[in-house]
This record gives sequence, C-alpha cells and structure tokens, in this order.
Amino acid sequence: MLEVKNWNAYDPTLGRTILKDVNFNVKKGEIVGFAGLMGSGRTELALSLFGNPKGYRVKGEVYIEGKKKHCKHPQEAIDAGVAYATEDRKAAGLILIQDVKQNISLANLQEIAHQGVVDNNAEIKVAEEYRASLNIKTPSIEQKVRNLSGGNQQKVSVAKWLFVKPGLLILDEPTRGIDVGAKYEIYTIMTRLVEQGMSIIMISSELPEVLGMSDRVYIVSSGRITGELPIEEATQEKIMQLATN
Amino acid sequence: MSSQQADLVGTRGVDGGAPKMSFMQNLQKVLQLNIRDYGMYIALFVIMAYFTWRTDGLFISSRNIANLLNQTGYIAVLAVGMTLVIVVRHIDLSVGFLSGFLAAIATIGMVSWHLPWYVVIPLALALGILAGAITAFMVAQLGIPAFVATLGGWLAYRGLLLLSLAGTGTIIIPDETFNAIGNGYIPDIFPADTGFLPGVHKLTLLLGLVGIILFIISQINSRRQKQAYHFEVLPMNLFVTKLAFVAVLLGAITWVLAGYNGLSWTVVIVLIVVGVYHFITTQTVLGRHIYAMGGNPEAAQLSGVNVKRLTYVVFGSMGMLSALAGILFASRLRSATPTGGTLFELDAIAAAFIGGASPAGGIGTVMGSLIGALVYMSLTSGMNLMSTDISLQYVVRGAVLVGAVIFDVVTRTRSR
Repeated sequence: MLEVKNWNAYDPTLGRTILKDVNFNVKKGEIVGFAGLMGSGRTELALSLFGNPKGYRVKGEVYIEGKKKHCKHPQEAIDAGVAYATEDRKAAGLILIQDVKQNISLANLQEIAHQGVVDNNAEIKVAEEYRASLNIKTPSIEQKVRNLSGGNQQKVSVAKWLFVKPGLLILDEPTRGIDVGAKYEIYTIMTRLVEQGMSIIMISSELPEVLGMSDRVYIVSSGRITGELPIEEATQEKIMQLATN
Repeated sequence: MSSQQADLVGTRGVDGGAPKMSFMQNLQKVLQLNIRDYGMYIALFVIMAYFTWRTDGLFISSRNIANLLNQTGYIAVLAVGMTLVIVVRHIDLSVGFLSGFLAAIATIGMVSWHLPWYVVIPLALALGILAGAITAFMVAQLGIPAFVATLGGWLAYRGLLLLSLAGTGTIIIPDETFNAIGNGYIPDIFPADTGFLPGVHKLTLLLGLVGIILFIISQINSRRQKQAYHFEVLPMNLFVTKLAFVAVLLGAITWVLAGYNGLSWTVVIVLIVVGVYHFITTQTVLGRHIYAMGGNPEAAQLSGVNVKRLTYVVFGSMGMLSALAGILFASRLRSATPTGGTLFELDAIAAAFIGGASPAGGIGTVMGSLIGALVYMSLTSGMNLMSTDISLQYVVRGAVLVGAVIFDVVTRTRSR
C-alpha cells in the first residue's frame, strides 16, 4: 500500500533536520503502530507525507499502491488515497464553529457538488450515514462541533476522513483526551476498517494501545526509525528501550 | 429518526412537533434563539422608524429613499467584498484610495484617451483584480500581515490618485452613459401616462412583485426540504408571519421607489453583486472553502483547501469590487476627484462589522453586510436630514459600530 524509502525532511523554520533516512512500509489491511516519545518526529513524518503543508524540505521516495508519488499539497495526498486525522483535533482538525455535516463533508465536497454547487441534500444524507455508522452522539447534524464531547468530536474527524474513501488512514493520537467508552468505539471502528481492506497507521504515545491494536510496530526516536517489531515480539520494555536510545 | 432523537431536536423549542405553544411564546423563543440573525433587521427598522418620526416622514419619502440607496451603493459593494476578507481573518485598508485611483484611471481613459465606457469599465475592473493579486501575493506568499500590506496600499494608491490627477485636478466626465450608472434609472416599459397608476414606475412594481413571489417560493421549498429531513423549522404561524413581514417590507420599498423614478442602475448593480456573492458564499464549494479557511485555517489546509489560492481569490474579488465602487462613485459625481474614495475603506469595514462579521474569522454574511451598509448610511442620511452637527454624527456612528460589535460578542458568549 505505502512504501517510504530514504525519507529525509528539514524544517526551515526550526533550522534543523527533523527526519533522517526513514524507511518503512504499510501493507493492505494492516494496522501499523508508530511508537515513540513526544517530539520524536512521528507527527512531522505524517505531515511530510500528507502533502507537506508545513513546507519542510523533503528528500526521498514515496510509493503509494506501487506508484511513485510526490504530493505537494494535502489535496494531492487525498487524491492519492491518503487521509490524516491530526492529533490536535480542536486546533487543526475540526472547524469548531461549523456544524457536524459541514465538518464531515469538507475534505470531499467535490463528491456532493455538481459544477461547484454543493448539493445540500446529498450532504445531509452523507452526514446522517456517518452519524449512524460511527454512532456520533449529537442532537442533530446541524449541531456545532464545538458543543460535542471529545469522543464525538474525534468521531466527526474520523468520519470526515472516511468520506474521502482513503486506502490509507493515518490516525495521530486517535484516543487522546477522550473517555473510555469512546476509546473502545474508536478501536472497534479501526478493526472494522482494516477488515474492509483499509490500511491504518496509528501514531500513539500510549503503549498498551499500540500493543493492543497494531499488527506491526515501528519505533521512532529523534527523527529516525530505531526499530521494527512484529507484534508477537513487541513488549513495553523493548519499545521503551528503542524509543530512548 | 427515532423518537428519542426527535425529542432532542425538540428541546431547542422551535420544532414544529413540539408541544403547542402560543404564538407569542413561539415568537419570544425564536427571537431569543436567533437574536443575532434578526438583530440587524430590527436595528435597521428602529433606525428608519425613528428618523421617519423625527423628520415628519421626510426620511421615508420616495426621493430620500432613492437617494439613500444610491449613496449606499458603493459602500455596499465594498462591504460585500470586505465581508469575505474579514471572514478569512484579513483586512483590506487600501480599498478606498484604490477605488478613487481606478475611477481616475477610468475617467482619464474616457477623457484623454477617448476610450468608450464599455472599454474603460472592464479595464478598471481588471486593474482592480491585479491590485488585489498584488496584495494577496504579499499576504499569502511573503507572509506579511494584511493590515500592513494594505496600509502600504492605502498610501501608495493615495499617491497614485494624486499623481494621476496632478496636472488636471478634478476631471468632469462627459460620457452620459457612464454617468447614468450612478444617476440613471431603469426605463419603464409601460407608458407613464396611462390611466392605471399614473406617475408610478410600473416596471419597478412588476420586478418587486416578481422578487416577492420568488422569495416566498424559495422559502416554502427550503421549509419543505428541512421538514423532509426532520430539521427544526419555524412553527407554521410564525413562518407565515415572517413571509408576510418580508413581503410587506419588500412591497413597501418597491412602492416607495416606484413613486419616484423607479429602480436606479446603482440599485440594480448592487442587487446583482449581492445576489452573485450570496450564491457563491452559501451554495458553492468555493464559498464553503472560504468559510472553512476563516473558521480554522490550519484545519482547512489539512482538509485539502488551497489556502493560498483562496487568499488570491478573496483579495482579487475585493480589488474588482473596489474598482466597481470607484466607478459607481465617479459616475454619481460625474467626475473623478483627487479626494475620491477617502475613508471608504473604514465605512465598508464598519458596515461589515455592523452586519455581523466577526474579526475572529469564519463568521459574516453578504446579506448581513448589505444590511450593515444600509444601517450605516441610514444613520448618515437621517442625521443629515435632521441637520445634526457633523461632529455629533461621527460620535453616533462610532457608538453604533461599537454597540453592534458588543451586541455580537455578548449574544455569542451567551449562546454557549
């Protein structure tokens, strides 16, 4: 599904290299965990692959479905079948002053528009579908996202990315700051998606979650991949050792 | 939809299926929930009623309303463009002198280069788009705050305006077709001296009637659609009241205008601009992207919205509308003057804020800004009729601007 070779990134605003010789791959229908400490470069890695919105200087090769791609804007990454649900859903993921349906449709308005004019009925239909399938608890899809709980906001964010029908979904800290029930629901959704053939990259700082959900784990430390563990061999101790070396 | 969900919808109190409430209770509840949306209309109504009372009806006379609308024209056009700029969290201070400068260019084009009006108008509009693109380049590509970039534009266009008219001073525009834009009225297709309603502009009446019918049809359609999806709709009696209120209001304006010279070309142009921008902002992908960018630029960009391109679109449209405002103003004065466009930018910004645009971004409507411009110009017109001292006029306008924004902030924090 995704293959990344010798990927390097330099952040001109920080003035330093943030990713160095990163190599990894994700297969179809697989959940790949990315473990590591805060600031190890996992989010930067995801952003640099997802159309590079921060303007890092990148070098290396990315293959999506076997084809070499170089996405210069998130829209190109979306078109190539990649979706990225950010770790900070309030600041960078959702438009809090807009309602549930507008947030869900935002990344794929083309699908519900004819010649640039949005079909409001189609939008309502799509939003109602995702509200039902992801069990988003909201009085109405016209409710402002600001008024939803953290878990339901996260589900709206996931719904937005499922609507672009990606082959690869990157979830950055998908359960940060949400309650246990919603966490469990997010895990269930992830399992269901990989059963349908989607690939998922899960970036998480919570080791039990990484160990519980992933098929394989990459460990990132200071912008390098310091280890790859099949889930059978992965333990908290091994991951922590690789993450801190 | 399950009954439980329907109940949740109903708890906001305006669902048609909610327990029967009296008409007044309904009205009170709807006004409370939507005070931000209706506030401006109420303010406009109160201001107009007050001035009508204080001037013994002079304010609402056909002649004054026609003049008021023509004066509002160029501010309304600028306010529409400014709304989009404010929605995407920027500001444009350069629009006043830009419109003055482009009006001067158009005038010089007609007088010195002997170009016809149908060449200079597109030329001015194109130069406006170019000016907007330069601003957008500085803001989007170089990352300069819009306030600073357009302050530079404010100074530069002022200088260019003075320079372009340096040798000649004020230039009188001889082209009567061009001057008709700001002073002319649409022709009546029916003879004026028939026995039926003599002295009334019948095409204006007809257009007004068509407008009212279209409004009612679209409202009924959208209500039906919302009901089909079990969304909240106004209770029937309130819905009818709203329709009747708007119909009477539109009818009254039409009647007043028809009693003078009918619809002016300025009003026609403003209606077209407002109509097109209203459609773009509410119905299109482009409009959705603009509001998404205003609501959260980072989230919008990560959702595939091309934020840089939108900055060009928004400032380009602002530049084009600046040119249009300059044309309306020059045409109204039948001349280009070295002071043309002075302080237009602040009038337009004030109109957009009175109309409910939020400096925090993502909020503001084209219709709101049109009403804001009407409120602002009604104040000016009314106080002029009452011969209020000009110094006091500024104080009142300032108070209304700040009052409108305070109202906006207070009602927003209170509604969660």
